[in-house]
Amino acid sequence: MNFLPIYRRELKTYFQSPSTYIVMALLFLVLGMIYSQIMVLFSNMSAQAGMPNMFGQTPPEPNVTEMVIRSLFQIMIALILFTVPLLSMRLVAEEKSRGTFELLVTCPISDWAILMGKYLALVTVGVIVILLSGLFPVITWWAGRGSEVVIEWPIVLSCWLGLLLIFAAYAAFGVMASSFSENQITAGVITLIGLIMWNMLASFQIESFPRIQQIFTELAAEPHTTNFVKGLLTTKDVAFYFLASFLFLFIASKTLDARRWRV
Amino acid sequence: MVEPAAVGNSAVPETGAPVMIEVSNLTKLYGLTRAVDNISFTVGKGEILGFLGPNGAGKTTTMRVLTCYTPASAGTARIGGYDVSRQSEQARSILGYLPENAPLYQDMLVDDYLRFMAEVKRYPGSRRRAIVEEAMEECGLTDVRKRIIRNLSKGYRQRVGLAQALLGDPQVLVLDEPTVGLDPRQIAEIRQLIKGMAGRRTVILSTHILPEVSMTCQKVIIINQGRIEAQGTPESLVSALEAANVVMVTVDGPAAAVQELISRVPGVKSVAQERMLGGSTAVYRVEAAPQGDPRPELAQAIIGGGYRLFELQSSGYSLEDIFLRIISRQKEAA
Repeated sequence: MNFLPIYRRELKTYFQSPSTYIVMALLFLVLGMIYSQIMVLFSNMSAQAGMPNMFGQTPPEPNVTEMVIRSLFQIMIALILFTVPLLSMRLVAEEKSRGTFELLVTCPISDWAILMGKYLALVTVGVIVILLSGLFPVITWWAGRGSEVVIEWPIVLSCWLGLLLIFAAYAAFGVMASSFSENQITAGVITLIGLIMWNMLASFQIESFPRIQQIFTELAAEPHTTNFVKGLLTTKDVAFYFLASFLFLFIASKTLDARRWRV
Repeated sequence: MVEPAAVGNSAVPETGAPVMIEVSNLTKLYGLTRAVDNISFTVGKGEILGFLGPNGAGKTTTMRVLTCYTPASAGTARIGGYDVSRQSEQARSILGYLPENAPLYQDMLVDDYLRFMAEVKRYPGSRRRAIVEEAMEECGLTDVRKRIIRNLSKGYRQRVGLAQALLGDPQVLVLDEPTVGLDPRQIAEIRQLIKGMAGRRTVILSTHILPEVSMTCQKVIIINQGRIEAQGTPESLVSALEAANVVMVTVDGPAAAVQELISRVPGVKSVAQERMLGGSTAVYRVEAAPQGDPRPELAQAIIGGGYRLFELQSSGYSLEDIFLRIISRQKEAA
């Protein structure tokens, strides 16, 4: 498939555009601020650990993996949800509004190649963001070296692989939404709202129909993140995010194709 | 009412050249609107075809079908023998297309952009550099290769779009309004460039400006409201109109004698007084045979006859007249 020229161009556009750096800087600013709060809380708790408090109870040693790594993971999921729309919204919408879309699709290149090039460029940006955010567990380990604080690396690994899968699925959703519209802002809003809805699907209370409730829970994005925190990379969760990515990209390709059959 | 050369929707293969573009009974509907209504035409190898019509006549739609951007509702189109709907990728690979308004990636450098498009068009890496150089050379872009497209003038941007269409010397070029929005000098340059392609490339260009067609094209199709109103060479369209040669003559002299004198000039078919200008000066309308220009003979005869000649004005039908006649005839019928 001839997606490489599109991929290279999109990647170059990402790294030449200030908005990419602004988005990334904001993400790490928020992540860093929350991280420092978590660390203050954690150090307070570990200082009190092992000493009886005024109620005569002895608080246990806090688990760094549970407290720090898990929080970082969950904050990253939320940050990715806000980052992806900002990065994905222009991908197809901009080509359509500038007319370059017509130019591209009249070249001997398939719609899939165009979409894959764009999608993989966005995922590459995601890989960079997620790798950089992996510095936080490393910093935690470095700060705690020599003490009894032990980081469970397999859990870190499963969480960060999970982040990649989540980013890939969100990115596919963003590409799909961008192919719906000629307007970038519309595409961005659709992506943000769509992703929030996708996460909230599990929290709809439909008690009278437990079956439907169960289907919603399976289809929602959020419940599929819980195993990563336990250090589990299950086929079910991996397949879920892969299938979701594929489905969104498939809908995007059908949307582009619609110009061929729409009257 | 006069009839131009080939009226109707029939294909007229004129030259013996192999057919590169073949459109037959093409119809495109947008909802209930017939954007293109059952048109057929062919373009031979090396021919330049002008697609002429007012805005909204169906020019862009036809071109979008030819470039496989949008499918026809009925009928077929072939580019170099490839059906645009069933062999779209092969058809697209021998095609260069300049869409309306020359869309470009504004934030790229000229040569980066052309190299990117050469990659998308699947030219192998070893030939890519040469292909880009050739296209830049042909469109006069070598001086601006390191400029950002956004900062270029409209004329240069149009040239970048044209260079993009020319990448790899495609067999068929489809140019949608290549000179729109340019200043007169730039228009002349682009026209010269296109004209120079005659014989080497098969070109189909659309325009709503008439001189463009008579200057650059060997074949014209006049399209209006989705239908082909006339097609042929610019000359054949002109000569098909009766009384193509009309000269307005302003002479001072007795009317009867002047008319008698003019009617004896070879090639003159009829003469009539158009209007008096005061004294014995009058304007005469002279109709001559379509071949040749009767003006030198007219001047000689009038001066030789001892009359004072003020003005000789040729008012033969131009493409403009044909175009307006066709368009207005359409309106009367409606």
